[in-house]
Amino acid sequence: MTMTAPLPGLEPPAPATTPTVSFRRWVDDQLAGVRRRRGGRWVAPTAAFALGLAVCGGLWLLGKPAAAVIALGGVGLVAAAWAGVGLLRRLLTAGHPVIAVARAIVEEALGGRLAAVLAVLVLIGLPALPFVLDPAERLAYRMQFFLTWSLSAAFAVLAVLTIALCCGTVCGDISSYRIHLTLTKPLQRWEYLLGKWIGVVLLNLLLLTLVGIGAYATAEGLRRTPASDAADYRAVEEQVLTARVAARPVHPKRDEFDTLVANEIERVRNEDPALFDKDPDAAADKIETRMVYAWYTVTADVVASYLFTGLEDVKQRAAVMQLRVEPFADNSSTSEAEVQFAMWLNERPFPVKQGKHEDYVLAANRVHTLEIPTVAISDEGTLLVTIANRNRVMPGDLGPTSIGFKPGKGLELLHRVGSFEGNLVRALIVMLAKLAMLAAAALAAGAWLSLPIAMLASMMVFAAAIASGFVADAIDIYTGVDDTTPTFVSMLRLRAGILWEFLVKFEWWNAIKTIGAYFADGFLTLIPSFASYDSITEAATGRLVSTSETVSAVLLLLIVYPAVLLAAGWGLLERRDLVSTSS
Amino acid sequence: MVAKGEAQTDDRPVEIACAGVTKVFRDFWMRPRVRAVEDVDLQVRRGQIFGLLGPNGSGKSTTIKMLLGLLKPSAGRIAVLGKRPTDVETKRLIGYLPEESYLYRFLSGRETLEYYGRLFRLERRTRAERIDMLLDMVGLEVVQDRPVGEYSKGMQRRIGLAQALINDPQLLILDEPTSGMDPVGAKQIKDLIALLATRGKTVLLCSHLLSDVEDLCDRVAIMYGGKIRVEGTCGELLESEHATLIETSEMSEPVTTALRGWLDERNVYVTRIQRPRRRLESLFLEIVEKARSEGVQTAGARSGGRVAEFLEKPTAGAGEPAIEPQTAAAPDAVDTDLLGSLVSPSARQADTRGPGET
Repeated sequence: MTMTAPLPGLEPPAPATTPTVSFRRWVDDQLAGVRRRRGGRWVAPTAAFALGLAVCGGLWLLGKPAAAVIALGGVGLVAAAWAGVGLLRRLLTAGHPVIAVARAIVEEALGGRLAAVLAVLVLIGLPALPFVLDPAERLAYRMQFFLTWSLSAAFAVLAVLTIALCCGTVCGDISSYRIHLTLTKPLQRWEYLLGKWIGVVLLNLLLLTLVGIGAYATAEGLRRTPASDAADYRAVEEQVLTARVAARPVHPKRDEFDTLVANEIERVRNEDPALFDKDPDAAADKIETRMVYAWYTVTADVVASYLFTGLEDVKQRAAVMQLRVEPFADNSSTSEAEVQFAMWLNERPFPVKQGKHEDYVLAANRVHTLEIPTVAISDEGTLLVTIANRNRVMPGDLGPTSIGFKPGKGLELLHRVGSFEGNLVRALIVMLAKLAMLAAAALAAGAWLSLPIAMLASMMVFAAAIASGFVADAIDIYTGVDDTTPTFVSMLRLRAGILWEFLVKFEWWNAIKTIGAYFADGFLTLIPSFASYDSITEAATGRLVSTSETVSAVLLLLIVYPAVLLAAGWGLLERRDLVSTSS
Repeated sequence: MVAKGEAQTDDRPVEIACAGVTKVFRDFWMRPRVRAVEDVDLQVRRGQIFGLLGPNGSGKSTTIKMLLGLLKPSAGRIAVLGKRPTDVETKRLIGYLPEESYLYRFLSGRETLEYYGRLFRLERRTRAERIDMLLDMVGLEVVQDRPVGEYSKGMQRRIGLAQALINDPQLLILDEPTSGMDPVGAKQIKDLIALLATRGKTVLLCSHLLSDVEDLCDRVAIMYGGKIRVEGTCGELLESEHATLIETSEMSEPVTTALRGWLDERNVYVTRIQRPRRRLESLFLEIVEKARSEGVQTAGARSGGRVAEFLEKPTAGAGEPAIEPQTAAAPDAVDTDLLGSLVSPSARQADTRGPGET
């Protein structure tokens, strides 16, 4: 073969031609050139940002501080979105192929209509949510409602976006053969999946940051609206926009109580040794539980005391704390009964109004939050809460009913340990970890299944993760299994017995249901429960999203589960042919 | 009919070797559904332009996808640049242009090349330089910031060609490279392929445009029904043994008659005397070139510029890889044992797992 003289296609280009068919295209091309060469990309956003700030300033000057703060949040949100996208693109300019794949999926998400619609939904919905709340409602409830719904809705939207994006990108790459070009480059298939996952996680990080900024700015705006009364305002500050932990009481005479429990166990063992034959520990636990319940029950003739310890720093952090009680009127035949009791804090009567020690009168079987001044805490950091039963004798009863609290959540002391801001950040990190797990699951599904099936499977994982407890209960009820403290192995054993019973009775349908339940139980066991990391409720109710919870979520949901799921996805992708038929 | 004379004497390294390759597509229940490729033996040597021909459904694309590691053969063995097709490091040296331009519609032309350049781990500066050269070469530098989704099919083919060349590949696999291209672009691609071959690159060209293949390829294989029906050089396959063509300057009628008589006397029978015609392609290119030289404007891709400088590096004959040996498997380092086992009949028989018949 010989080379001939240059042919028309390879000759130097003719003088530059300017398209005249479409003026708009020509303008687009010129603008693109300006953007690339002269930094023109800053002009329009800067002007828009300045205009937004001017609107906020105008609202403030017009005497509408709440609207100004919320508008400022909106402007900040849009500015943060713009800056965040720029930052994300800059972050993803590294030359590694995995980062290149991550960048491509970010561009795919930003260019896709679904992402745009959902982002607008979040960006507009967040600042708009406070305006749909009833202003007559107490501010603390409105604040709690706003935080719960905004964060929950944002999480749901992002979860759907994550699943759609992850399934869509892998299935789309395979079905449209784009993957052929990508995987004929020096890129391992696991690197391809990892790049997609990193891109989606970073995108979620950006969107969650925006959600955080929006939620925080809106909450700050809402905080500046009038509260119902001083207590309402205090409730916002001390019960919602805060981070509290719940302290559980110990018996004030711990050693004596332990001795009492030990003696009681010994007494029962002597009286009825058969009780201890099968499981001695369980029998002892049962007796101890009964005695703890007795301690938590304030009978007519007993003054009960509950000691809270470890409160040394609480006085410096807050002026008030909350005693959360859920009393029930023991022995009462009426469910709507009230309970009445007097309370002492470190042996000083509380509350005292106009020199008089007042009783608490509370509806039974309801949760009540009693404000407690932190000055009541002793210098040693202890608070002894003493309760005396002041119930009236109900008609038809011989004496006053007992007042009971369920050990655990029935009597807790909530006190501030951190700020709302820190709590919100930790809540968002936990949300990110959950989304990262969903992303890995959706990518693994997409690597193996067609788009609709992959979406369905991913949504099943999502549903199982957020409602695994309910689903497990539903399966148990449906298949007639009753085990209050099931483990996977105990359920297997229980179901094996039930299955055998159905088989010998020729009850085929029930047997099939039981076999189905095996698979459902197995599936639920593999999926982590999001209920264990309910950071949204915690942040919205002023409960601390603990560091241990955050670290645990990051380790499990952001590292371990994605690693396992992506490895599974890689195994499936590695083994499959990327063409289903041939031409 | 298999003509292998040249292949047996050619001592250039084998860069693609297939031995008894079969591909059977199966359904969900693993039942054989389509036998797309059957017992294909193939050897492509360095610097060759090898044409794989065949009608639709003959197994060309399936063969190519197996060479690229996108499909796993049901039986037989394949070596590309001395490694298995799934070996990722080998892919540093391969450029691939698929039959359709499977590109991300939301990325601009430049971003598309950036993306593929990064997949090859090219340094930022090298990447930027090559992208500029390639955009100029394929005539898309004016529309480089426009999303690829807005490109015409021909423009997408051009950007697809650019991505296939961004790594300065040693082995170029082109599936229907001129499909969707206007004759100017098609001519440019053909010239480029010829140029690359002179620079020592190996090109596997898959097409059913026979004129393209005839113009370019020095060796061809024709597939039908998943099998290679014939293989050899164009000269071997196309030369007619029963006719001789003499081209002369214009002859007058008396001279023609005299010549015919003179040949008849010697028992040479003239079957056809005609004036040669120009090829339509040549006429088309001439008109376009004339219009361009007159400054007529166009909204589409402009004619390509000069060949990217990095593709013009003199690698022909020397057999040196285009990419540094420390970063990629060099073609010279072909695993001769592997190839030997591939081409030896005993290895083929041992490795061939008989897929079920359809």
